[in-house]
Amino acid sequence: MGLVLKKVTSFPLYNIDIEFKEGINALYNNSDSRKLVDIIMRKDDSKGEINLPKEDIFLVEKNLNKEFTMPTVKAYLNFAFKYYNAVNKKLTELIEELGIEKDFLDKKFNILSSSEEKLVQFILAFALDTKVLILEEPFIYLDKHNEKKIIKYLDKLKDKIIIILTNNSNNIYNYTDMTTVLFEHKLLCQRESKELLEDIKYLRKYKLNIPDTVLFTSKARNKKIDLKIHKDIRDLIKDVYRHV
Amino acid sequence: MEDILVIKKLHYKDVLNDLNLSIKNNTINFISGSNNCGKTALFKILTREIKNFNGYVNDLNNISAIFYPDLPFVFDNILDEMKFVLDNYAIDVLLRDERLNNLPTKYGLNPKKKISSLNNFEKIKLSIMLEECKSTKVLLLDNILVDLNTVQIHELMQLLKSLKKKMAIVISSSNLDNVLYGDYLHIIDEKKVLFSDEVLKVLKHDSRLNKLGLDLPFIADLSLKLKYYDLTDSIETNMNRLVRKLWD
Repeated sequence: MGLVLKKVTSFPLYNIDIEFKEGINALYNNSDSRKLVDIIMRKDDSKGEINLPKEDIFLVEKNLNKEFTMPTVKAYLNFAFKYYNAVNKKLTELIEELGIEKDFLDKKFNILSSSEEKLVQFILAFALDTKVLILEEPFIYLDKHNEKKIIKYLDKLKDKIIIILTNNSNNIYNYTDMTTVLFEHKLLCQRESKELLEDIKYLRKYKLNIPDTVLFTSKARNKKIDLKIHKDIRDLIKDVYRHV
Repeated sequence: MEDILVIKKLHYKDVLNDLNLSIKNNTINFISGSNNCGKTALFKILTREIKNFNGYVNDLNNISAIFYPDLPFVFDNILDEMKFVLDNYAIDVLLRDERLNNLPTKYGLNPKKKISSLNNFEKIKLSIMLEECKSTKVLLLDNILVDLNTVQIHELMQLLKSLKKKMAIVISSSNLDNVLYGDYLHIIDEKKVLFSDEVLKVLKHDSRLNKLGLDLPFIADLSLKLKYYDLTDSIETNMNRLVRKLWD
């Protein structure tokens, strides 16, 4: 059983029925979906049913909440484990698995860069090991190397419900299995990401961003060129080569 | 175009070493590099937030920075915030009135609006508008685009294109997604400037940039790789134009 919301209502959202299943889900980022996340996190009074308690859900917000200043990353994480009443996981193993250097835990907390703060949030989230993980625009401060490290780790968590809140269509297309879109305060669709992100007419109708490779292929097809849609640019180049 | 900002042999702890960089007036510049390459540290040096550095920086007056997501405001509404800045920077009375009357319209902001009711995008626009009020000469924008959608980025970059007539603008970013809006691109690696040139000239170093964890914007990447197969003759920045080049 996934994360199930039944007839959830909180102004302006009305009667939302959604199930987020295990795997990597995208939730198209707009004001309605942010409201939905607030409801799931019980930050917002709502009517209806949510099957999982908030203790089973962890939200990695866009920016790190620095209300608590700590001397080092390790001290912050230890404090956070106590705060969330969680068992201290083997941090060293976790950061090794994430491909982060060991001395990261000893870094001074108050001078972390935006990307380092993001990594602290990920370490905490992965260590807490909740059933549901909501990631709000998770890659905005990261370069591609760090982005790939995080995606590689998320791919191992397929038994968890991961919800990525983003409007980056390239990331949704490349990294997620299912996409949920709220529109005008209702559930618009819940479709396989690949199928949705290749449905250009639908994306245009609801003003959703089109992935670059999909848009390029569509423009070629308008010229009667029989290109296939490729996620990998190298495959796209081979296909273009065949058709020029 | 004259260099408005000149940095020579800049050294700061083990973050920056022997960094040389020139920024031309009236240009939009992107500074990029992998995470923790020293972009934000450089901005903090230029705004005197970090003082214990060695090296030469020409004139640190009239440099301002906006460090996203920290967007601090003093007053409740936009108009009071503008008045505060204009008075504090002793802007000439005529210019003051002109800016109070014209700038909110240019930035699509209602001067009577409460700042607490603004969304992120509006707060960013307000921060930049206040810099225009101050007559800033070099504006540093740290991570300013990370949280905007493509429509908002396009609108903001059009505003910055108009603003560059009055100043030099430097935008830091951990990716190259929006660098095609800029005139110059500077890449920091190994504590110093690795590449510093017009955007398209820097993007030609695609394999080196990829190694740093920087992917080129899709259409530039595609056209550059097609160029290796002799399918295009130059790096392209517009998708429609590339499609026409290939199949018309």
